[in-house]
Amino acid sequence: MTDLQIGFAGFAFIVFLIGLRVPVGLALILVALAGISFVTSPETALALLRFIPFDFIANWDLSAVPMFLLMGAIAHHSGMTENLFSVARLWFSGLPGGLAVATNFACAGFSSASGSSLATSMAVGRITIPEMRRHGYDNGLACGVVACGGTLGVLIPPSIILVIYGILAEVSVAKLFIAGILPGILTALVYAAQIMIRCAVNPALAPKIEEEITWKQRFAALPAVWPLVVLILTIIGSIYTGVATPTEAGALGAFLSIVIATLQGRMSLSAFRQAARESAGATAAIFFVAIGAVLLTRFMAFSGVPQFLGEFVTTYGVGVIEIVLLCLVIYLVLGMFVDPMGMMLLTLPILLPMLNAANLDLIWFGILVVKFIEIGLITPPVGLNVYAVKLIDPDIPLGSIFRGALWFLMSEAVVITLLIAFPVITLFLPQFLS
Amino acid sequence: MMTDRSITGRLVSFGAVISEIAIALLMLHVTAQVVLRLVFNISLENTPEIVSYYYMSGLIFMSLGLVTLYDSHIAASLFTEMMPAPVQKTLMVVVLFVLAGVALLLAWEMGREALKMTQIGEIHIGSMSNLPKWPARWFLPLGFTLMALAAVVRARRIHAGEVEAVIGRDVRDKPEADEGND
Repeated sequence: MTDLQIGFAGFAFIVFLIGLRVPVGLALILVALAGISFVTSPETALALLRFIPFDFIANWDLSAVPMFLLMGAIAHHSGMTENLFSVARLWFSGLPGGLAVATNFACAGFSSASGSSLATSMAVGRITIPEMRRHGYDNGLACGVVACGGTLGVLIPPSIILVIYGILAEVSVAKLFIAGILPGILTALVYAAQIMIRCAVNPALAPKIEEEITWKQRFAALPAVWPLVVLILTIIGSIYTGVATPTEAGALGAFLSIVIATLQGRMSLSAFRQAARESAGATAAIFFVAIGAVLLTRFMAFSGVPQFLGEFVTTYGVGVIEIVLLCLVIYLVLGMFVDPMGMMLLTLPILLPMLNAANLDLIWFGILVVKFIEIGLITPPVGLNVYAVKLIDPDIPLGSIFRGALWFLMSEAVVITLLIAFPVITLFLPQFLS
Repeated sequence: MMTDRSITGRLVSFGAVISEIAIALLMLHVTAQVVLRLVFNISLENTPEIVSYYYMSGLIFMSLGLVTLYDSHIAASLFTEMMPAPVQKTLMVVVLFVLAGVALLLAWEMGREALKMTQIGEIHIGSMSNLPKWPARWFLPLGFTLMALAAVVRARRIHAGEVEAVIGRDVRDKPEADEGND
């Protein structure tokens, strides 16, 4: 076997192991170690093992990950979601499918405090699904909007996936965050339009709520969302103006979330410990895979796979669109059974050399990767967000949640087409970043 | 919070407490650094290094035991869920033993590295003062040893039928929440 064949065989074997429910991190580390031993020597493999984990983890930029996870966990305890939804409700309930529209924007709002889509769906869904069901909303619509609105959590800054992508692809995390804003808002607007059109055409999906809400009431309720405004200003504001790095913005955001939760009488030592333990555990799970991905990158480099793919792209003149479509197919297939973070960490060591060879803008591609990952979160058979919603209300059949999500998937197709056709949507804001 | 009273459970819980402290210190230290810089134009010496070497290593590696004991690793269960229960059980026990073996190998190699760095007294040379770097390296062998222990205990529990193999949460004493890694 040539080194190149060992490289490709190793990659295929990783996918096989993941299919056997071997933890993704373990599969990556095992195969990378064996592969490096074959291609070079076992001593080289062990030497890499001695320094890679510490050198990789000891990274200032990566410290943003636990901070954003902590902030999301605390924001969830702070009651921010209830306030967000009640204000969104006052503003949007008069529209067709008003509660679903309000849920969609509550998800978008909570995404500014959460870097994870699962956490966003869980936090918003616990409050909004019972409310929508109480008003006779269609199950598919009620659950679909929560499962899909939650995916905004990884697109609207902060985003854990974008931090890790930024480090691996060696692009600015701050620029990625800022690049996610417009596509995030666009997605929320397209979702809202889709909900309103469907509900206008078929009012049975979302019975109109008969209540008189005055503009005075709407404006009077607005101050209740101040915690969110504080967090948005802190995170996006400080990163955009260059006052703070993403790690600093994350730490400030987590600290402010604690202050807000304490002011609202919702923070206790045990609640903080729970959030801290949960966030540290989630960080450890992510980084175990990330260490494997770094080892895999070395294995791939030793076997010559990146060089081969790079040459393939330049020799055959593979264009940007072809590469993007290829990635879409890869993510659609892998998204059926691999968790989003695992999927990204698994594929980047292979994809990055191709992207670099094609001179593709890695900020733009990063946002597209997040969109592709979002699709995996809401499509069968895995669809993690759909399962999260099912946990909230076990009475609703999975089938109807997936059917509800299908409409949002169509909206995603519209958004992705727009993002591919007009890269300026993604790249407009980051160009002003100092 | 976890209520596992076994020796491994207590060790894993102790590791998790260190992680909680590390993540809290990370937040407080970085917040203090930003506030002091913006308000008083004072810079805290070696903050990025303390954060990267000590807090990050502490919070990540000392959580590995907990993540393993409660099956919170990132994994794909789609295909295994279709397998008959006894096959799932055997497969998971094998996977956990492999995990324990790899974790021990990692602990051994990183332990050697940590020992070497301790002997030479590894430091980070700062602009104003130096920072000892070698103590942070010990989080790695400690964390991976906890992970190996947790994997063996979990394999034993699956084998004994105390926990489910794939859906995987200990029905008796699971932590309340551990999601959010996407």
